[in-house]
Amino acid sequence: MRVLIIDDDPNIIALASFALRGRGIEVIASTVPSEGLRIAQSENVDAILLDLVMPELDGRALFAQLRENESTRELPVVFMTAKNSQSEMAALHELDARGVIAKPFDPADWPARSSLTLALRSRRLGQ
Amino acid sequence: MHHAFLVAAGERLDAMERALDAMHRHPDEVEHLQSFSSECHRLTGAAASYGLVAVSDAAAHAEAECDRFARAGESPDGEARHRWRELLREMRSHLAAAGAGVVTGQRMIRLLCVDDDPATEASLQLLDADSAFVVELSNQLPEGALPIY
Repeated sequence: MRVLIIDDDPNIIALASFALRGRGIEVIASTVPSEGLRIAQSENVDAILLDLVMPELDGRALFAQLRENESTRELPVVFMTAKNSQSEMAALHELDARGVIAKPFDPADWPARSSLTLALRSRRLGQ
Repeated sequence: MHHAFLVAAGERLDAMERALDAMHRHPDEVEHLQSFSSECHRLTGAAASYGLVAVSDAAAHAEAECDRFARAGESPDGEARHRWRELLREMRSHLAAAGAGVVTGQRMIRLLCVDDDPATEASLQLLDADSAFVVELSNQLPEGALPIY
């Protein structure tokens, strides 16, 4: 499994990469949203972990671009966000994303693995 | 990885301090509030993941207040800026306790003015950041609060 992480905070990328690689998941990452979009379109990735609040291009706008592009339309996306209010979380769940991970997260008990596994499984099943 | 975070967090606090100083001098320029809020947001999301729960909590508190000002289209008042400076001080001490050593923070000189003469206030407000002073007026602080210098 190969996961693309897009987050403008390199400290989050470092921690998430560490947690995922420790579980045998290959990681590529970008702190620049537009570059992350290009990678998603050009590299073979199985799922994307996408930060919500970023400069230049925020997670919602990037998600919309992913959904508009033929090559990335079906890619499972799991949002990561520190905007953890009920309304924010509900709004994210209404999007066609496969999960939302609240930040800060405990890397020792990280929910991303189950979210990503579910995301990949649903993709394989064509759901 | 933990050390890299501590260094980055110290730099974020420096950036927040600079944004606060800029807010103080130019309260109507919204980009300083956005910049401060953005740095708060990053600390909110990352610090607790590196074991610094209190830093995340303090940053989240400041970020929520920033959001309220932004939604209301208002500039943060002296009381809010004072609270945020105290939160910054608190976050620095948590970072230091976590092993950040001497956190970079090139603090400007904070000057507390306890004088209700508008002329005094006006003249002190003229002190620019280049002179390394940040003026806090006692009549803009929360009742009973005195800053810790």
